[in-house]
Amino acid sequence: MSVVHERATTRVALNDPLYAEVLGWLIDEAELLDRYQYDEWLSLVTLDVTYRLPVRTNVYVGEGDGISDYCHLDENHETLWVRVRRIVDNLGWAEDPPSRTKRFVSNLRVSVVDDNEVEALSYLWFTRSRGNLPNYETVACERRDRLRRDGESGRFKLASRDVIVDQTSLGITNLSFFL
Amino acid sequence: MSVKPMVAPQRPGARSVTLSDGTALDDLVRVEQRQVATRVQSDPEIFELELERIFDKTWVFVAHVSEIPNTGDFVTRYLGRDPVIVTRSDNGEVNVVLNVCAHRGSEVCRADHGNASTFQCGYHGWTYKNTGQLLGVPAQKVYYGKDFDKGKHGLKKARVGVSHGLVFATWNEDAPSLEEHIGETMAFYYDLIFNLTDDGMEVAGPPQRWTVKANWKIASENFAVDNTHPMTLHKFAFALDLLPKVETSDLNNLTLVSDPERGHAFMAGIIPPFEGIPEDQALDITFAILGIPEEMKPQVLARLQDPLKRKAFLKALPSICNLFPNFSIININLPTERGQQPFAIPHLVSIRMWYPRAADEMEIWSWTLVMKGAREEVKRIAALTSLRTFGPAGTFEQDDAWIWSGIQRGIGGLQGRKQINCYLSTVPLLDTDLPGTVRFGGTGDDTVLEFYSKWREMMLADGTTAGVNGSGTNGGGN
Repeated sequence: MSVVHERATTRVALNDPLYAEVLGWLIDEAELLDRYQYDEWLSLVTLDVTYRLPVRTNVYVGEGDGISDYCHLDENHETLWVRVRRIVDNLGWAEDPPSRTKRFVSNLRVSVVDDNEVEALSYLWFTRSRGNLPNYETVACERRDRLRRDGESGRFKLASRDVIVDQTSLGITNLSFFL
Repeated sequence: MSVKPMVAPQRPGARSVTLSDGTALDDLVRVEQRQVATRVQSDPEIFELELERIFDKTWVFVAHVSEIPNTGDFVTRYLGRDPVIVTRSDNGEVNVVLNVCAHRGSEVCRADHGNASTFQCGYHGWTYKNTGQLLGVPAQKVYYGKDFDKGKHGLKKARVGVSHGLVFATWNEDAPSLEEHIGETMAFYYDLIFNLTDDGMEVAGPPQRWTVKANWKIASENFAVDNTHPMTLHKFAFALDLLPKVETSDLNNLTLVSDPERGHAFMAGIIPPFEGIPEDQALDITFAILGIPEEMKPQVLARLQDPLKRKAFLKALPSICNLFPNFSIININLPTERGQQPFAIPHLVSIRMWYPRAADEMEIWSWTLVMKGAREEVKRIAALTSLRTFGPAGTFEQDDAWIWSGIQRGIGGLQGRKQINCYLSTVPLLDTDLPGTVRFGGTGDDTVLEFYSKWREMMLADGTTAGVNGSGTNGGGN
């Protein structure tokens, strides 16, 4: 099964209003997550959402990209809900006290899939400070998203996301957050 | 009240070990008094001794056979702190060779996995067969003349053993066989985890690797076995009604099985004991909870013909295990969604190796095993369940990782590391024909003390032997 969607081919220019709308959406999403407004974030994903963070391995040239079908995160709406409840209702220990995070969104490339859907490829630089530790835990990744217009509100919602991390061995304690 | 320990006494023939500040290791690990100092988890000097006296002497897990099914397949792993290449050679055997060029020490294989019958070092072009044998050196005659003996310059080979689909390796030529290391008790019970079906288990994907700043023994100890943390640490599952509420008294229904001589242990009892119901009904319920698909039940039944195996399957099916020193097993399938159909989760196994990167840091390697002979959709649900509940993002394991690193943060100071941890809980031995030392009741710390007892034995062992009871039987076959 292919992890990565086929690239859409109709690129949207940087000065196109559609580009600005998608960038604004991603920046607003980052704000929600950094502020731990996870229930609001969950309302921005479709009920049939797929959210994946594949395991990455180190392979020789000519052997593919090392992106596995097996994932660290491979979620649907319901399993995302469980994760949101863990954090918002303070049912876990990994995020109490909460981390302080920053999600830096950049390198956005938007393409049209069809009338209702766009593909958004963006880089994310994620920093997390936990407890009183002097060092940040960081993740650099590319998100490969499909955003779909909601029939009622006309606003975009996240229909699918593949998070492609660079690390094969993760340098972080746990993945108790969304990228 | 003094608590009488039920652990194997310290074995004779040990040498004393004194650390550089004059502390004797014996003062830190007094299993008979049920005392283990946290210093054993924080001291870099003890860590260096462990690399030499444990990881260089015993069998360490490196791969699952299904990761290298075809001739030429390879994966790169660690044996102790040493990088190794695990390969499947032409004769179908598994080889484990040091990933260090015999010429000048360069890294020979730089990828995580692939297929290659030979490996060429990028520095000077020395080329090795996947058995470690040196095949060729460019311009060999110019450099070394015609008397160069390639046979003396192969990649260092480790001894390899395969049991239950698990590949272990050791650098110790004098270690007992892998079979002896695992022992009859655990071999018997591991059949119930890995050998239930005709085709056995296979990996669902590559290992997940992530970093937890905690000593490897904090993890081993948790799996050797800590049954009293789930209600607190994994409280989310109960709060969201993913799991039925557990009373502390329910822990009395768990069973602990161990091999004290070897330091191995497991907890059984995710499946409740069956009293007074017919055996075939009990089997059906166990199959359902374990997640054996209907079409595979005949295979499992065929493998449970032995009455003792069947009894163990029903009364002592391993759920959480640790194989000394740093290989652990999770044989539980946990729910990931509200309203999940009871018994809808197929059988899955998570195997893990706690890689000792430093005294205060481990890298966790975790593999998901699924039933090789199952339908693809069954395997997919098993894989999804595993990664959603365990692994770096696992809803259960996320909390373990943070708590464990919290231990490490606290015990680094002079006062912290003088702490004697509390291992006072004990449960009674059970008189049974089931193999191993069996205790009825899940709250005991006895099996954890047995782990440290074995640890102490190896740390104090005479440098030339490394067997059970300090007796070094010669190496058996691979």
